[in-house]
Amino acid sequence: MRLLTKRNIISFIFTILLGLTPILWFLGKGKEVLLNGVDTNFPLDPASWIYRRLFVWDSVSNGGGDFSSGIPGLFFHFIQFLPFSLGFNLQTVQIFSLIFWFSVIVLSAYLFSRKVFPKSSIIQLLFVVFYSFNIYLFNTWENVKVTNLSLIASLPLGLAILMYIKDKSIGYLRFSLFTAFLGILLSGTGINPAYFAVFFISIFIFFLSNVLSDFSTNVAKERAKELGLFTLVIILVNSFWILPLGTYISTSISSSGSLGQIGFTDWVDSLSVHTGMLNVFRQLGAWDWYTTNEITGQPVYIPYSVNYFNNLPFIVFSFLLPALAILGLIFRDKDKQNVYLSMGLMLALGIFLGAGTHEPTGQIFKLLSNHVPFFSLFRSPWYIFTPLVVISTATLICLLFYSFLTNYGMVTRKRVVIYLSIFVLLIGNLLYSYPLVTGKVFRPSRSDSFYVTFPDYLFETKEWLRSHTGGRIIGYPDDQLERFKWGYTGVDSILSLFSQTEVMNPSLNKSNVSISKIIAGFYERLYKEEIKSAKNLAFKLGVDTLFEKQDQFVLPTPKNTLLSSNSITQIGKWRFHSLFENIKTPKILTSSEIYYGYPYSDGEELLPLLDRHSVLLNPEDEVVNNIPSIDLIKRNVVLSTNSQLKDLNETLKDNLVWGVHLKPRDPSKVEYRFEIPQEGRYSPLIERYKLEEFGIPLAGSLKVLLDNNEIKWDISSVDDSYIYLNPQNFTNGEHSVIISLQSNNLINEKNFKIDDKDRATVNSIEDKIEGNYLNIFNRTDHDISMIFNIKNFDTLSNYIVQVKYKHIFGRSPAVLVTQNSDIPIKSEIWDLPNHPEWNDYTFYYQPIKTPSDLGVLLLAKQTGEYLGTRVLYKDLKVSKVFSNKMVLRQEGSTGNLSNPSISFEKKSPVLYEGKVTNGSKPYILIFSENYSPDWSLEAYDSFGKKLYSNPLHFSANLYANAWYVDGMPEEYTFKIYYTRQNLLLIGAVISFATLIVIIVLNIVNKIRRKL
Amino acid sequence: MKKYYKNIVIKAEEWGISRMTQLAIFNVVLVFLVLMRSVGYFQPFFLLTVNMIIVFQLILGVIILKLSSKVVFVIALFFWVISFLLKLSPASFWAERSAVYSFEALVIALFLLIFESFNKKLQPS
Repeated sequence: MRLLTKRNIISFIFTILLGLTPILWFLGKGKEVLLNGVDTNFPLDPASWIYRRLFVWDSVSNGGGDFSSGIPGLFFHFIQFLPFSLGFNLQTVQIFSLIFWFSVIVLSAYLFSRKVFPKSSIIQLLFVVFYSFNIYLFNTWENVKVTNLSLIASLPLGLAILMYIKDKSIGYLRFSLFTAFLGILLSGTGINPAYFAVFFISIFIFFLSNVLSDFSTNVAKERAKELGLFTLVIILVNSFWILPLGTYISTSISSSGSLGQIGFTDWVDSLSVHTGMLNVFRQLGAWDWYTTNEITGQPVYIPYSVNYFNNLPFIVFSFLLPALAILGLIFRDKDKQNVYLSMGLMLALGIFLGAGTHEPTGQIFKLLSNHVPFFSLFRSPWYIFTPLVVISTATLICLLFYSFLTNYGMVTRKRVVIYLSIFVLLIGNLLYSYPLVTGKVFRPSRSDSFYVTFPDYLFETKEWLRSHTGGRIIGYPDDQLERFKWGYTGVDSILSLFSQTEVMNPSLNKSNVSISKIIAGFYERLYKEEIKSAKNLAFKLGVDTLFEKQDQFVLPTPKNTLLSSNSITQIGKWRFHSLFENIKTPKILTSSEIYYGYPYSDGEELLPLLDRHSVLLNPEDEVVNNIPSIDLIKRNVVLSTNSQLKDLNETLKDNLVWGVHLKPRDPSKVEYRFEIPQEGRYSPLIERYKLEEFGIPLAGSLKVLLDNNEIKWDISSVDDSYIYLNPQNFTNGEHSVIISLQSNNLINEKNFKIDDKDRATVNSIEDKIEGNYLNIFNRTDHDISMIFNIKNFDTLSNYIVQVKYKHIFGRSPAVLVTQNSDIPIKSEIWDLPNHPEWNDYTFYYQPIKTPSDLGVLLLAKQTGEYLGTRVLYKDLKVSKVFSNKMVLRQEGSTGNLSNPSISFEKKSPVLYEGKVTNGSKPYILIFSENYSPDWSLEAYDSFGKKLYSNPLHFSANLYANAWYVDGMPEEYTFKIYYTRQNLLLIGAVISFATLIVIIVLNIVNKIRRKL
Repeated sequence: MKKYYKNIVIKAEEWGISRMTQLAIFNVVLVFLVLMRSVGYFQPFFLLTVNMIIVFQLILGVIILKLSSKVVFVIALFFWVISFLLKLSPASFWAERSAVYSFEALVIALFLLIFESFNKKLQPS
């Protein structure tokens, strides 16, 4: 098998040139421009990215997480690391990486085409062009998707290798060698194992077709042997990621409905909206092509999509390719029955599965999702299965022309027509794929372009972070997407693009996990100026620095003192604020005070009141309850239910149900309900935020109704986060505390505005209060309204809007709430149900947290008829919702837990080594990485002898790991290790050994032959 | 061109004459199914859709008219061309439906192709 022969030299040279396409993407773009942003994660420090992929735990983001799914990206990032380590600049590194993958794809396609169309160079080239330039690959290249590139590069190569062994062009040793290299290329698909599965699905179809088209027991055995060896080599070569990832999937994820658990949202239905057969067959099933601006009708994400939808030549070409593929199945060459069958089956399966849950086959897809274990991993059907359509369509079209050339190519006139058709198709396909050829897939000259020039201060920050040896860094402001004014948009913290520094950021994908709730709580307290609580949370998160991005494209955030009062390091438009002075926030620490949290599921509301010596544990954790004498050493913290907050949440949940809005609310009192788990003395704490606005005193005493008995609670102290009330005795069981509130109406009923043009309209508005109600009569051709502005609007509070109304005639009444600054921020319209008698209507408004004004508009809608609309309104009341939480903290002394001193060093993301002094008394060791049972703690004496194993291991502070340590000597060393790393090591040994054995055997064989 | 056309017509005539009865049954079943659909037979227990009629007729064609995989692929192509024409027409939303028929014909043709490949191999040479 020779890659280059005289006969194929032209097609080979063209193929090589096609592989250089990425150079075109950078022409005229400047020397510092990189393709980066959103899903395109090009590392600005490839060395740190490849380092991360040597471990199955990634500690960089949000308390760390299992990184088994990142290991398969090792080869992909190695290709970036290689030129980077040789000192090339980042743009060269990126171009090298892109050219590598483009070249691998075209060469893989070329090798396949050489085998299927051996007699025609032009057909070989046609296949390469169809396979490497198509609409499916637009999205793949736009985001430089590792999995897709890996699959696309491996698919034709895998089939070609099987063809070479089938016709004995190569022996088993070379077959193993080629398969091993293929295995390396294919490794990237492990990032999403569904792509790995698709590769084997297509290989199995090919095997089946070979057996069926030439059926005999011997042939079946021979093909099975080849397939077996092929599969074995690929699995062995990929053991380094299969072992840890396979174990992770099988132990941490349930076989059905598993998507949420690996951090993804089950979005298969939304991705299948446009994946009808018509679109899938034409490879036009990407969801983002169909998102258009409601007003302009222009595409939101893909500017060139309009050409494919509306432009006749594009429409014709999109239909032509599938038509030619079907024609290929009609004009069949008898010698290639196996190829026709395999490609036909791949085409049908690719269309069927690529359509996802789109009807008419969607029900079958759902059935498979529900009943086939792990089938739900195919969460993006079109993206995962369309490679089958791509390869089958390209092959069938080329088979058609190959068949024509073979059968009719003898006649000169016919041959000219055939060649001309091929040439037109070649050029046509390149024109049809113009966004890929020209780099328009990266949306140049748009605000969401992937072409980004990173500012210099980013690289200065990279250097500064090398010397930052403290705790974690938390980003500010708290937008889930980081959109920078200089063009980059990222899902993760930008710091992780170029450093190993551990960061905390609001999570887009995992907003529901405990650590994300704690992070959200930190921001909320920061905005509310509850600095003590915010710092308590920061300490629990191991955060000591706030990263303020002044170049981020965001709405202004509420002002807070923390950003101006702390020591600052300014680098360009980035500022790093130190949150603590003289206090470290170590990742490994001890705790001497244990609190049981009730309810533990709302623990993020309890953590802010626990100082750095305290730890919050789950009272329902069986391991925790096995701690000796736990009842003597723990105390309780109990969160009460705030009646106003509860009503707000319940109403928002059923917001579309009219019934929940029809009863009036009483904002002049709040009821706290709580259940005391253990009799004792508890100090009530009420959240401090703007209590005085509700008439609650900050000193003296507070009158409350406790279990229907009126009593006074003395206020012992106040800080920026809570008011602390003197301890009270509480018995076991449920209790209720009612507090009267001063509830102000934040609007002045007589102070409203009317649009001047409406005032001039005769009979449009009767702008007077008639017996305490407002009468609006609208006979105009537009909606008219009374505008009431809210006094002292506070964007950090929620609001309740109540109004009485009577509908006389015309269209239904409506209330519009608008939040505006210099630009409109948010508006909500509430259509009130028709009601001829006075009726109450209530709804809640949650503001966007940016300085702005709020207005409430009472509307009379236009009807377009002479009769018009008449609506009466009265008793409009807008008041703040009293959202402050009340927590009860048990008083009394704790047991004899100690606080030994600990020093430690992070050896790697999976290994921490440290030393304990004064550790002979029992204590709780906290390790502030996300909890996993695979973290282990081992202790050693001064001679290196292991002291014990398996101390009680449990979750603490909602997310962290904790161990109860007892019976230790005064001084000893310890190791905290993520044991799943062993699987990576074992897998890596298998992979490496397989490669070495195969290479050595091939070399020995070659030498022996020469001898 | 004329020669090709004549040839096709002659072959079609021969084919039609040799399968007169089967063609009659095929058409009667088709008419019957369409009529049943139009008066809402089996509803609401079972919905006799046009989609179902097409699949049924394709399978019936294979069984009684002995349609080969090539012919069914031609039918798939026919529906695809219809789909293209509908896409260009104001009724472009019907193009999806025709594409579904094309896919169904493609799948049936592939089953036939498997059967033919397998059958050919088993037949004594």
